[in-house]
Amino acid sequence: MAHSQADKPDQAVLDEIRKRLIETGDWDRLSTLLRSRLEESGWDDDLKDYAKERARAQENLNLESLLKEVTPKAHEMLQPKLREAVVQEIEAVLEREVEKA
Amino acid sequence: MADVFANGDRPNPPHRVDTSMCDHLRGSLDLDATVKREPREPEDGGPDAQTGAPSSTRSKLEKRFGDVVRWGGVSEGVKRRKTTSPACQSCESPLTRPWACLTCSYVGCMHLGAASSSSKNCMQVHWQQSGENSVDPATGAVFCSLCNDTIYPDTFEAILRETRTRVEETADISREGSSLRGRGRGPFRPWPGNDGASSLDDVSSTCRGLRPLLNLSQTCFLSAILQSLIHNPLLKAYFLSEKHNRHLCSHAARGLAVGKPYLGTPDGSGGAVGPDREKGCMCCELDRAFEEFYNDDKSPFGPVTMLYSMWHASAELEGYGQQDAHSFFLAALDQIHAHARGQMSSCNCIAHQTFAGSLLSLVSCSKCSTTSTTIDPILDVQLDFPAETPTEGLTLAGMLRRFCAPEKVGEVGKGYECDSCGGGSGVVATRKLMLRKLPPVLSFQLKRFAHNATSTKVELPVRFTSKLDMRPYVDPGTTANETTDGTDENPSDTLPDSLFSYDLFAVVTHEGKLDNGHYWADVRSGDEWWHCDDDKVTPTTLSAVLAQKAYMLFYIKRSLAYTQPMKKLLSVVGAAPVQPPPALSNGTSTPGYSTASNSTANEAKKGLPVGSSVGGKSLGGKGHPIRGMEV
Repeated sequence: MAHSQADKPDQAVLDEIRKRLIETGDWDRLSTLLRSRLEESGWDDDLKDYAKERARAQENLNLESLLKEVTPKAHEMLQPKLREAVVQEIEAVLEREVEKA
Repeated sequence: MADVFANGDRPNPPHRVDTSMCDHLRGSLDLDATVKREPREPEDGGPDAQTGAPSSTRSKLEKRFGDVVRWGGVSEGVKRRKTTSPACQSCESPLTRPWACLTCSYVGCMHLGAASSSSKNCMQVHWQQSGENSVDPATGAVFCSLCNDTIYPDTFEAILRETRTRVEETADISREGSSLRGRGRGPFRPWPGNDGASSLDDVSSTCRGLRPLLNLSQTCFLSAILQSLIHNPLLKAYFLSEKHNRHLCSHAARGLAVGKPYLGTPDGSGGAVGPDREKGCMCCELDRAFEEFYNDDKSPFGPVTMLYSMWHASAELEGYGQQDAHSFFLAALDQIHAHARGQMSSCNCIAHQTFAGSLLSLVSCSKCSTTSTTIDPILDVQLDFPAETPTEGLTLAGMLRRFCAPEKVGEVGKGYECDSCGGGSGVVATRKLMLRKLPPVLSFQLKRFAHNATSTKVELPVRFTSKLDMRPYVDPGTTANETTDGTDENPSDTLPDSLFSYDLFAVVTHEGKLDNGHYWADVRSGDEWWHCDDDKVTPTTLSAVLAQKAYMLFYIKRSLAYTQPMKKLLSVVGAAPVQPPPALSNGTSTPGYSTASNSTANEAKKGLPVGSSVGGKSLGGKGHPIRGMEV
């Protein structure tokens, strides 16, 4: 890869990439792939359980506060193998669609 | 969480406050305003945006909501073609998760922690000028910036449901087929409620259809399956609405008279006394069971007459002792069907209506490349365990993939006998399976008791989920007899996801050895799960249920299609004597029909293709239209 790890992604570039992927239909395909892999692995059900539990425990239930609590757990519950598989797909698409700077 | 029983289209009676929405939104809708609102400059959205009559503001907001979720339904639920993404109207960045302003046509970035396209918050800026709410087209969630939280007003939830159903109806071209296939799909009509009567909100029911079952000596197989049938929403609707009344059924077993010599009917009309045994009627037994489950008595119920009825109807299940729950399940469906009045080609018995689907089998010859197709009716899907377990464990989806995966067919040495070219040694055929018609209730059997040489039970856990998307396993082609219009796009790609979505509602688990074990069922009632172990019924959780080493799984389709009402079909002939619906040829449209989808009526597919075969050699056995796939 041409970019170094230290580079902070430029928002404008990200926007361009996102736009391109939506146009080619890859965004949808990757989203759907990720969603179905997550569902099949049980991540959906586990996360819903966790979120319900946290929601019940919260004093002033609020979307933002719930998201704040649940998001780190959601990342944690993601199986590394699943993540790897999807990242590979994303990289393949980027390889195809994005010119290296 | 939103109340499940929405008010539908009726406005709230003035004395009752709708607690499903916040004060701010209530104020905007001008219902029962409890918050004093400062007068605002008229928006460019129209002079009557703030000061107009309550109904017009409200209907504008509701219409906007409807438009937004319809767009969401079309672009999210129906597989998207390549489109341009919506862009934020302030900063022009592409939005993968757009939020739409409820009061005007603005669409923009909104930041909601992790669940947002970007860190920008253009919507917030927008709110300084217009409105304070935004809608998520994907889910219909309404965000109130003053509460800083999402709300789910009942009235909007009702609009969401109806809009999404209409989107599905319009896109559901899978319902079109030959003119012989039945009445077609009709439009969903929301329940209007009884005039003057209180809404469903007021109805509080203590009756949940939960009841312990007596084990009548090794009958846990019956208890488990019966629990799964009681909590089957379609069977429940059928029997609780008295579609089969055991007091009127001519086949009714007179209680424990089942099995005894037939003595004729009480009024002498049912036939002569003869050598026939009282056969009993499984529908009557289920009717009785539903009544027992939904009354106030919560003591353990002993399904004695059902057991007797089963014994006398199904010789192989006779006698005390453990039976295979799956065999009992199929036998029960067989017996429900036995008294049905439908013909083979379109049985309307509740067993078929609920469980019948079909499997498409494609066999290609390696020598001459002809593909033969066979359509087989099934009542459930029976999944084999693979010879080798994958390292990441078994999942239901994985087993389904294996079920549909291409498989070589052809005897060693002799090769495959092809109908077209003869085949011969060295020739193999490849067989693929796919689901063709998805049943309303999809049942799975995980074949833990393979009757092979080793005859041991497979104890491996299989991970399954509360939701199931069947799209990958369904035949993407159009119905067999239809010609496509030559577009390069696969028409089934535009079918909405909701047509393939299922929700788990019952799990039957077996513990122990082949001939000496125990069954129990976990069933869902609304959102609650209950563990039913013969006479011990206790609350449980979804995670506990998902951890079971399931033997049978029952899923129900999330969205059901309604048939075209007969009166719509007959409206062509007016009030004249009832005639069968005319068969229309493709392409003609008859005035007087009004279907939600833009197709000619009568084209589609409510009929259950039982036993139909479209050319080719039938492999893998069936023949018996009820027993399901016997591979």
